Amino acid sequence: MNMKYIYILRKISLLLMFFLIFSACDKFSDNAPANYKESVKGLNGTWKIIKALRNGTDITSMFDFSKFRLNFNSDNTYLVENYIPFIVKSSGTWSLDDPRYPYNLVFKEYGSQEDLTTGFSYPIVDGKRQISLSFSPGCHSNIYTYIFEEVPN
Amino acid sequence: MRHKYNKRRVWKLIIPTSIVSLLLFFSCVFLDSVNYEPTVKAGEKATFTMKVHFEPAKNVSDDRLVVAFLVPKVWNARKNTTITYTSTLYPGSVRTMSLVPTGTLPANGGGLTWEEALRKNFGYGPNVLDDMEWLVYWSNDIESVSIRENFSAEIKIVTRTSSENMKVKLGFFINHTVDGFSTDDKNWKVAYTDCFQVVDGDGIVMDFCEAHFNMFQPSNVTKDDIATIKFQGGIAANALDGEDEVYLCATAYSSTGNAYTVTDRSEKSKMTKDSYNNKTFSLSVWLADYFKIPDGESITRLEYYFSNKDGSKIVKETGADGTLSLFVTPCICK
Repeated sequence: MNMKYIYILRKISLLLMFFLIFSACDKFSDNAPANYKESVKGLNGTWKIIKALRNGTDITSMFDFSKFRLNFNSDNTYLVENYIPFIVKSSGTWSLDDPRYPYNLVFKEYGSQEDLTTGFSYPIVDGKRQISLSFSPGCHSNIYTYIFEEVPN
Repeated sequence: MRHKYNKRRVWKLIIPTSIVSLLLFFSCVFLDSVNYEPTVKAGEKATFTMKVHFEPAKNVSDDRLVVAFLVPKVWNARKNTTITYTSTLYPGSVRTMSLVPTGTLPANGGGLTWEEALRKNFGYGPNVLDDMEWLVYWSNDIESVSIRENFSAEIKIVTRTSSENMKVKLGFFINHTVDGFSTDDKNWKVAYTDCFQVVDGDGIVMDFCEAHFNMFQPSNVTKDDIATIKFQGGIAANALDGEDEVYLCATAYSSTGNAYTVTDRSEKSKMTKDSYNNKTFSLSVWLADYFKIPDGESITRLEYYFSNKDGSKIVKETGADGTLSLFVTPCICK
């Protein structure tokens, strides 16, 4: 009697374990990576220089960068106001080398056939979107980096 | 049951742990010397030999030797340099190094590239002009080093100088990729030459070694650069001592022979007093705009002096024989 009771208990235990193991092994269904898409980088708006580096040295306070404005429009045109040394002097069109993971920003001035490409990054600093562009407007050995912040409407 | 506080037992734990920690973190790199000829003719090759030795304190594999050197940008050393080394680990074998690929991050560089980390930590060394760059090379062979296997190496850097006359203090740095520029300077070393001279070249001497009354940066410019001109009044007694306002009086000469002069001592040419050195004044200008250089003309040189407001006191270049002349900065782009 005792043996039979133990035998039944073992069977029930095995069945329970079998059930628990398979019910625990649910498929891990995380659809996030498949559905996640990096947002398209929107540059529309008016941008001002908040920091300027020349060959890695901060020259923001040494020169008046305050009046320069770069306007990006949704139709991929841009406008430069109050020009100072920059990659382009006059208005034209712009594009990114990749709308989601851009490394370069490409300018083309009206009337020019030449694409002018600048290194591009688009970080969020202190909750504000910034644009960082690097280029050589004068001697090729001098690298300038301008960091822009959007001008509130 | 509670464990009794037992001193002997604690030390038994602490001592081996400490030894292991020391072994893991205590590995030494030594830069024993940098040998070079103190003078080279412009445009010719210069050779620098770094003698180094290592006392590794742990077994290391997948490691590369890292060498960086600080050179004037105008040398374009990135394209004109070869680095080889010999080591007691591999007697008789001459091994090569190549530039670390752009964007490579050292393991402990805080997210900076090798070049950025070196510039952040060492700047431009003892030089007074910043138109210099750190070039970083690593061994093409991946090395393995065993604990307590001390070894030495001789690293030969051959680079071609540019055509400019120059005085400069070159920098040399040694490290390895497994350390990756950690904060512990036992694992890396940096050293600088005395004032190395390039002679028999073109134009005035670009002096990176000593401060002068004038400083012009960057040393390579076109009219579309933002240039910074400084008056460094603190280096010696001069006519402008005690003046609160200093003005730049300058002429730009163009490739077509035209001269564009700004000597009116107006707000435009007023220099800004340095906030932390009240004898240094600076002015940063977009050259094309400042001198109103027309499109189609480039500038070849600037000539200038420094003045007080009414022009009664000026500072010019003083020659070895005491004669005064204008400061001259060639506008070159190489």
